Amino acid sequence: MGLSNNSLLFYLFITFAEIMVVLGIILLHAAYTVYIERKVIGRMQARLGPMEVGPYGLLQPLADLIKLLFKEDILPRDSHKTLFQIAPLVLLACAIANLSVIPFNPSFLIADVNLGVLVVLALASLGVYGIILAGYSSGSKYSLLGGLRSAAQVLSYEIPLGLSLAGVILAAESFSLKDIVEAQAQSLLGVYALPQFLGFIVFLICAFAETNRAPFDLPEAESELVAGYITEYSGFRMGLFFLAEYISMYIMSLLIALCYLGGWSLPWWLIALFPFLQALPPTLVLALKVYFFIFLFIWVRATFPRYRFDQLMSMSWKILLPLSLINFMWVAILKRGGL
Amino acid sequence: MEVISLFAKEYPFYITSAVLIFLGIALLLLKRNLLMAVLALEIAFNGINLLFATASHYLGDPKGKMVVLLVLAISAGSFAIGLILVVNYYRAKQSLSLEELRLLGEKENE
Amino acid sequence: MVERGLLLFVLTFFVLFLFFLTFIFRQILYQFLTILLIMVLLGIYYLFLNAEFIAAIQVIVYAGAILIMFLFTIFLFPEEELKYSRDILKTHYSSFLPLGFFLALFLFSLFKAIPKSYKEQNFYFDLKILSKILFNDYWITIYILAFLLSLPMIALYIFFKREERSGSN
Repeated sequence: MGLSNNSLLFYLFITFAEIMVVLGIILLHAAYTVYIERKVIGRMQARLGPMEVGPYGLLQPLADLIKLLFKEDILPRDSHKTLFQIAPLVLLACAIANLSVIPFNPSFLIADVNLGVLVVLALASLGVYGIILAGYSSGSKYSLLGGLRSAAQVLSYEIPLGLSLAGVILAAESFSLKDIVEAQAQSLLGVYALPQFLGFIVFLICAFAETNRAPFDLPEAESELVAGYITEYSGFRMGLFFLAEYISMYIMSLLIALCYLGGWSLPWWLIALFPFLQALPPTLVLALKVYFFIFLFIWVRATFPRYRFDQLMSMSWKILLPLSLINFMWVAILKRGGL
Repeated sequence: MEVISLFAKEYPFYITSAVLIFLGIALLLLKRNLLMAVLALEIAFNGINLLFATASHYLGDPKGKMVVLLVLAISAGSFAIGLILVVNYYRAKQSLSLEELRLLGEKENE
Repeated sequence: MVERGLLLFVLTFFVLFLFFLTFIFRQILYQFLTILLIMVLLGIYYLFLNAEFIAAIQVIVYAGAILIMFLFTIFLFPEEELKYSRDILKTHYSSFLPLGFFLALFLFSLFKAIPKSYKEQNFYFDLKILSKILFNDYWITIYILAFLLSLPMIALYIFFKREERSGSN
């Protein structure tokens, strides 16, 4: 508030530049994750994956982008036109806005909010509207069913997700992601994934469900619902949905890496075993952890069959919710014991 | 400029809470729709919440914000009950109009 | 202070704009969307009152849970129930007058009731202070709240029990 005009402009310019850098990096990553996914799944199914465009098919994302941009943009006759056009943007904006509170480095963070975890949860709950409105505004039964299914899934998996994060917050005594990483580095085992193993597993499963990824990709179950809420979308708007999915995949991986695996810090026992690891730059450490989880997302997609809808719901409410509560109690006991 | 300096004080919160309470009561009375009535009560709750938070901020007392948290939790419960009642009522009467809401018992057509 | 005043001015303008839109729309879904936007904007108001936690809870609970519940309920009803016919709107606009009177009275009494010491106190919302008060002095409200929040579950149980019975008959 006490800023003079010049320093305010400078501050705005710096923030804008930071946003551009983060957005550029994440969009590049999202584009090449599609390529890596096709390549890895191809290898796992004894195929080659994309090979035609460029050397080893490296220009495939660019070709896909051009194809999406030049496709015809169809507005269905029975659709609610405005909502139909806004819905993918809502989903994408809620996915991208998460990046503002995530620290990539001890010193690089766009917005230093002291309630970072809650902001992520709030944006996740706002993103559900994009899905429901996309389903409803298409004016098609498959879309509506897919949208409602997806919303029910995301809503019911948000609760165990939040409760397992509550364990982390209780252990670190802070809502800020940066403080969580710092408290983690000073804790006994260096990572929260070991003392809070239950919470880690619950969070991992919920991360798959929140992003509508493979064993839980019911909203776009091709065999039952055609393509769920994406059925009526075509061209660039469909691309926006996929972009939002891949970006939220990255956000979930970042959250797991930051909250459970120590973020940019390495646990002391790992450094004691391999002293040369100390030379790694912090951002690279975080990136390696994130890439591991992205690979896990793809690996699971290639391996597991899809869940049935009632199995999915009963898994959330009957298994994951009690487990995350047990984890919370366990963290409280640990905290009471002074660990 | 004077308007802007007024808006930096507590007045915008008063205006917004008044607007929210007005919106709640107006939707309840004017729209004559059961679904809207349930939502309208929530909006009036929100206006009162904002008043509590404003008073708490300007008097330096954390109890007002505590009340906001409690009201949030209670209104979530009451909203769920309200929606259950509306769905049940629609199944019985096939109508959502508040004006046809005269049924207390189970007997009607006698 | 200028930034705060300007931002609050824009926010209040938006809320008033959405308030009028709510009366203009004739479909419940669109009315609902404007109300959703108002709820999210209310979270920003709480940020200006130094209550970040309440702002986050406002968005998570209201926008993320309560209003989505409402949206699910909307989709249970047939499309023609979710529209108002034009004549209902026209006949009832005159009843805005007593409501406007109420609003004026409300604002008047508010402005009159402001104490002299009503200045910004630089009070920052602290979860630790709040939870100490809540769990030490007002613990009984938490118990009452727990009982109250079990009521929706009981109501749902009764609802589905009745459905089962009528289904078997």
